[in-house]
Amino acid sequence: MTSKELQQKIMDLVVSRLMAIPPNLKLSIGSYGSFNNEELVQHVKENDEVGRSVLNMQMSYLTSLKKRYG
Amino acid sequence: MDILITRPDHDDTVTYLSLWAGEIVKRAKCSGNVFDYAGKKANKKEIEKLLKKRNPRFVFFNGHGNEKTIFGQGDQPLIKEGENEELLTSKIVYSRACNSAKSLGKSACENGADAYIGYKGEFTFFTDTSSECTPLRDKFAEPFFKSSNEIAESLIKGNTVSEAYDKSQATFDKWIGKFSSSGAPVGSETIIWALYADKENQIFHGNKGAAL
Repeated sequence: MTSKELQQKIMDLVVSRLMAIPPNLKLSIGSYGSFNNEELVQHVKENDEVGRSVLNMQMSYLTSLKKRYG
Repeated sequence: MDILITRPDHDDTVTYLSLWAGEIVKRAKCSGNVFDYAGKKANKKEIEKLLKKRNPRFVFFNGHGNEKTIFGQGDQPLIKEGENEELLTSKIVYSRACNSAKSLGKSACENGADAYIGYKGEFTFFTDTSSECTPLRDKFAEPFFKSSNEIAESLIKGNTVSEAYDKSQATFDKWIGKFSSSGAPVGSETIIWALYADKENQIFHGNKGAAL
């Protein structure tokens, strides 16, 4: 798998996880504001600061699960 | 003992911080003189005056932040690295603001602060749109604020900085476990990653044995 393909797979995974968030919930990210699931997905797809921040948070959590459960 | 708590409320995010910090104001009033600088009072002039005049042992900042700055009402800088961090000398500081522990916290301790607890990344939290008018009843915001409030609560009870940190970390874990269980509100499991991020971003600098 190329690096580009891996990045796409990671983005697809994070997008799937974000879409599972109920639409009545919003994530507040400091001075960037608050975002519902569709807005979070948009930021991740645009790969802007908010999107990168969310992607990193998701991946850190998933990595912690891998460490914990192998 | 004097305690300073800043609570700007100029946007939705800091209003949540302000209201949940209000729970600490209530508790702290049983332990000492609380200087509750909420809303417009959370400005640089008032804060600097209070820090110099009363020299509070504990300062609890709530608001926006970045690596080098803690902001007050209207995002006016209150404490800025290289400018006025010496005002934190001999104090225990808890900053519930994004990123400020990364550089400002370290610098403050190198310049005399007893200890600085804060976040090395964004402080994030989920809210339920149906609870926006009643943030203290927001079941999705509750775990973020109960866990982060634990730092201030523990310090006020007399715990050391490292004990307060450990208790807050344990509270994050408790909520992560609770939100992973079947009895949690619908959708809880989809936001655990944000709780985990706050837990991981919470750090402290300085004297781990410091206490109020």
